[in-house]
Formats: sequence, C-alpha cells, structure tokens
Amino acid sequence: MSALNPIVNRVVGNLVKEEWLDFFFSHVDAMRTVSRVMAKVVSISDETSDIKRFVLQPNQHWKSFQAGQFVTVKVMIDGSFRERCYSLVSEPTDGVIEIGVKRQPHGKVSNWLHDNLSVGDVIELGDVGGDFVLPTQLPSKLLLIAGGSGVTPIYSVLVEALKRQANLDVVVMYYVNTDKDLAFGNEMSALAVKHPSLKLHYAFASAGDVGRFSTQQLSALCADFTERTTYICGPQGLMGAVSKVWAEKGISQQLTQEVFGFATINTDVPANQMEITLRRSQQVMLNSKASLLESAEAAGARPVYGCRIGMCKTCSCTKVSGVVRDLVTGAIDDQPNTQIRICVSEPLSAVTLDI
Amino acid sequence: MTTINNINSKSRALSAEEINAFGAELDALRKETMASLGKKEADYIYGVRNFVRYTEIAGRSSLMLGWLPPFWLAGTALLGVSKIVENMELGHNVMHGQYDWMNDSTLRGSTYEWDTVCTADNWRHTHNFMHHTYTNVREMDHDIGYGLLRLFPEQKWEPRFLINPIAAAVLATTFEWTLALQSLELEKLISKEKTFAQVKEQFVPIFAKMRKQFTKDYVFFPLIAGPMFLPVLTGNFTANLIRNFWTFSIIFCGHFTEDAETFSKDVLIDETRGQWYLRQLRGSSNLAGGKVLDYMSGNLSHQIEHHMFPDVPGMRYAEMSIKVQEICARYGQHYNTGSFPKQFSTVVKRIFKYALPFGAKVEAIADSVVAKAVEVVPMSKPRRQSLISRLAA
Repeated sequence: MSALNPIVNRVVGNLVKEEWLDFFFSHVDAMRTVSRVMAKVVSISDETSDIKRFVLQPNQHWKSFQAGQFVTVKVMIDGSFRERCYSLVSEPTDGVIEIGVKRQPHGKVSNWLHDNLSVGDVIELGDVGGDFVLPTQLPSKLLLIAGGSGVTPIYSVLVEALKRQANLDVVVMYYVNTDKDLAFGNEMSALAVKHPSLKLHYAFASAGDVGRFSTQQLSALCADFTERTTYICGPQGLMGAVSKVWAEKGISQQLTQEVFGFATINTDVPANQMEITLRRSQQVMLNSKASLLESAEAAGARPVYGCRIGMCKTCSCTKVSGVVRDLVTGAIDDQPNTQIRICVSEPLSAVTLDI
Repeated sequence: MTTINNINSKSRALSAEEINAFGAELDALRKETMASLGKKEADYIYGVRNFVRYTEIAGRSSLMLGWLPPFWLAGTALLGVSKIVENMELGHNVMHGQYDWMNDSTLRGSTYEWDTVCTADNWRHTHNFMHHTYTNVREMDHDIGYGLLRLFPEQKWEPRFLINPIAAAVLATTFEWTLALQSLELEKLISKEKTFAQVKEQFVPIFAKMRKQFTKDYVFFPLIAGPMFLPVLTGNFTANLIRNFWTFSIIFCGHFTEDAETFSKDVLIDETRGQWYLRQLRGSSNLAGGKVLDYMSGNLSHQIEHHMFPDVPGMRYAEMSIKVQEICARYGQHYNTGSFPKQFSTVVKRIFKYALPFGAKVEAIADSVVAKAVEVVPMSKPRRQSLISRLAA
C-alpha cells in the first residue's frame, strides 16, 4: 500500500470519499484505513483493583511518540464518539503500544473500557500529544513525583531516562492509597535492581500522615530537590502542594506538570471574564456578551452565522475544549471535540473553538 | 404581532400569551426528544448509510449486465432508490446537523457533501438558513416558486407565468440541476438586480460539482462498463430522473398544498419564538402514509415536524407528530395533512390556477361572482341526469 500511496491520495482527494474507501476496506480488515489510526487490543491485564493495562497493536498509520506523551482514544458509547487522553506507558521503540486506564467513579469512558473492551476489538486512536517529555539534553539529576494513576507518564519518562543514561541519578516518589495500589510497582522495582542510581520511595496514605506529601518528607528523602529537574503527575491536591513548594523556592521553571482530565465548570471567574480562544484565527477574547457568537463579534471576529436563533446550524463549529451551556435548553456540554451552535451557547469555563 | 393570523386561515387567531404558551410546549417536546438521543438513532443512521451504499453497489453492478432487461430494470430501480435515500433521509438530514451530536466527522452537518449536483455549501445556505428561517415569507423564501413558478395569489402575476405547468414539468425533470442553480437566483438577471459577472463568479463551485457528478454517472461508469456502456448510461440517466421526479413531488407537497399559508415580510419584525413555530406550522403540510413513505421521503412526510424541529433526527418525527397534533388541537390550529395523491393534486391545482392572473383581489371578486351566480341559478344536477329527465318528460 505504501508504494501506491501517492496515487491513492490523489484518487481519494479528488474522486472518492475517504470514508467510502474505509467502508470498503472494513469489510475485509477493520484495521485497514486510508489515514485513520486504528488499533487492535492485544491483551488486557489487571494492574491494581481499579487500573487495567491495555496493550494495543496500531495499524500502519501510527506515528511515533516521545516518552511521557499521551494518545487520544475514541470510543463510541451510547451512539456518540467520546475522546479521552491516556498516557503511553510502552516504549516508543516497541512495536505495540500500552496504556494504563484507571476506572473513574463517574467516568463514562474508563468504565466502558474496563467493562466492554475485549481482546481482538479494534478501536480508533486520535492524536498523540503532550509536553511531559524529557529535554534533548538529559539533566544530570531527576526527581519524579507520581500520585495514583499519575504514575503512567512518570513511569514512561523513567524508563526513557534510564535507557538514555543507565547510571542517571533519579529519585522517584510515588504516592498511593495502599500497597495494593502500586501500579507498575514490579517494573519499577526491577529497574531499581538493574540501576543502582535509581532511588524508589513509596508512600501509602493508609499509613496516615507519614504517607502524605510534606516539605519535611521531601527534604528527608530528597535533600537536593532544588537542584533536580522535576516531573509531577497526580491528583489536584498533591500537585497543588508540590507546585506551591516549588514556587516558594523560586524554582517553578524546573517543574513540569501533567494534568489529567478535561474541562470543568469554572466557578471562580464571572461569566463575562471567561476566556474564548478562536484557534484558527488565533484570537483570544473575553465573553463580554450573552453568547459565544456575540462575544466573538464584539471582539472583532467574524464567525459565520445564519438565523441566530439556534435553528439553521450555520454557526455550528467544533468546540475543542471547555464547558458550554445551551441558552435554549440549558443542556451542558463539557466533552472535548463536539459540535456546538455558537449563537445559542455561553461558556462556563475557558473555551477553545476551531474557527 | 397579529399579521401572523391570515384572514383565510383555517387556524384560530391566537393572543400573544397563547402564542408564547404554544411555543413553550413545543420547546419542551424538543428538549425531551433531544435528551433521549442515543444508540438507537446512531444505529439507524448507520443503517441508512449502509442501505444507500449497498443499493448503489447492487444497482450499478446490475446495470453492468444491463443489455438484459431484468438487470436494467432492477439496476435502475435500485440506483434510483439509492439516490433518493442518499439525498433525502441521509444527506438532507445530516446536513441539518441532525446527527452532529454523534461526534462522527463523516456525519457532520457543516462538512457533509451529498451525491447530487447541488453543492452542499449552497444547500446549507439556501435551504438550512434561508428557507428554514424565512419559511413561506414572500420575497424572502426563494423556495416559493424557485423564481420560476407562481404558486400563491399574492405573487405578482407576469405573462411568463402562463407557462407555469410547462415550467413545473421542466423543473421536475431537471430538478437536480435547477436546484443546483437556485442559489444563483437567475431570475434576478431579468429584473436587473444581479449582473452577469456576479453570476459567473458564483457559478464556479457549482460548475465544479456539476462536472464531478456528470463525469461519475455519464463518463466513468459507462466507461468501465466497456461494451455495456449504453445500458449503464441510460440506467444512470433514468435513475437520476426517478430521483428528480420523486424529490420534486415530495418537496412541493411540503409547502404548496391547498391550506399552506404564506406570509408578508412584516411577520419577521420582532418575531417571537412562539410566532416562529406558528409560521412553521401554517406554512407546512404533511403526507399521511406508512413507514415506507416516511423512509423514502426522508421523513418529509412530516414536513410540519421537520420545520418545527429541523435539527432533531427525522426518524423521531412520526412519534413527535402525535404530541404536535394534540398541541395543535388544543390551540385551535389546523394540522395540514392528507394522503399523497390528495395533497399532490392540490399542488397541481395551484400550478395551473396561478398560471392565470388570479390575484388575492381577483380571487375575492371571483368568489363573490360565483356566490352570486349560485343564488340566481341553483346548482344543477349532472348533465346526464337532466337530459334523462328531459327525455322522460
């Protein structure tokens, strides 16, 4: 197929709809597509009571990634496609990819993946992204802080760091509830055996205060933390506490953070201070009017519109991220990459539109 | 606004409060339906798309053996059905954004390109925006006559309308092509509201789509058929004709039946949501039929529900119509529905009647003349009867 690609691209671009070809191919092989990235589930294993590891075999359109990045997974649940990002725990050089998914109490996608995905199923993958990566020039000392399922990008960065320099001075601090929740614990212990320069520290919340982050604990376990390039991924509380310490020490630029989850309603900011970003026209404005359309127009943008009463869908565009409310029905949409009518939508958080 | 209440309307005139309440009830129905969308609707539209694709494959394949009459007939019929369903149940509904909530980029209203000569962009503007916002408002809704026909007495009569029936027949035959040209508003060249240069510029993307569609049906498929090119060509042509006639009939039954009302421009001034619903109701008409008619008409058998709820998936209209009819009854509003033959016959009547200079004023005079004549000369029995009675006498 690769040799025919230029010809195929011309045919597809001008004459045949890509989705028609994908439809055609799907009858033969669900993994074969013109450009969409598909992946087949190779294995599913329980890592902890609420974290499962999924190993996926991607098709030929999979592009490489850097350790610490995430992949977007698209699954159809109850008639609509949902997108979620999961950190890749496999090595970029592996032939297969692996993600670790924690079952969230009210999570639609995580529960669906846990309960409905089986070995042999084929799912669609979206873009790879994220800035939680090691610099080209490896730092001399690393501090990696993980909390709960935040260990996934941390583990990926750890493996990559030691691969690049086997004797790299790395300290890992991993916060979990109990010893049963140590995801990738076996792998990290094996690494510690192989690489004496790696110092692993586990802290269990079940043990009480000694299992929680504090500056004393930090100084005791990693006295030279101010000299280390630090990566952190974990729950809000942990990340907030750590970033506060780093800010106080004036070393915030040494801290790289990875935040899980998508937009939530922002109750701190008044409605007319919500930030609207128009990605394509590269404009940012505040929500000065009643609807996204009016606010964009007030700021000088010229989005396409029609009836302005939410009926004709001329103003319909992709909301990349953010929470909006439908001014007619009151319905709230917090999902990434959905279609909204900007003439009848108001932002409840910072919103990015693909216009 | 009281201009919404036409004098000859079969619907009761409503007060402002009643209109607001009417609108609120319909909004509630819409909200309830939208909240229930899920797997059932997604499976349905994927099923429709599969139906379109499989019938196209079957139709075109069958035409490849088209020198044999059964294969030509089957192929043409299948291809005609495929085109009808793609244009109506799939394309038209998807482009209204009825399935945007699925987050499937191949079924997105703003980007879907349909299998007919009219460009999707022009359709989205002319139909989704102009027609659905200004439904049946004279001088705003270009679909009233398409700039070619006179269908309502309020439209000013011109001599060119004498050929209404012929124009309608031509429109029906070439519907796919004339719809593609609709956004050009060529009649404005006659009235000098538009220049040829403007038309030429706007024609560029239309021509590109025309060329693509023409090449597909009249060059590519005949070519790959080799010696079978002629049956493929005639089959494709006939399938397109079938689609043109069918879509013309369904669409014309949507707004031009006997009881359909048109409105003057001032209804749009400060039009409330309730008034908008009322105009959609009074300007639209339904076709009473079964599930097959619903499917083949792209659910435009429920034109009223479609106009009230253009972005609700069409397959829900039949169920919503029960509630809509109940609401209309309570507010004394006429719910315009009838069988396909009956509704279509009233459309044909309009086409012939308004070819002649029947204006709103002339109609009133004509009505009063007839009324007077009836007083003077009692309506006689059919001629045969009176002849027999004369012979018997």
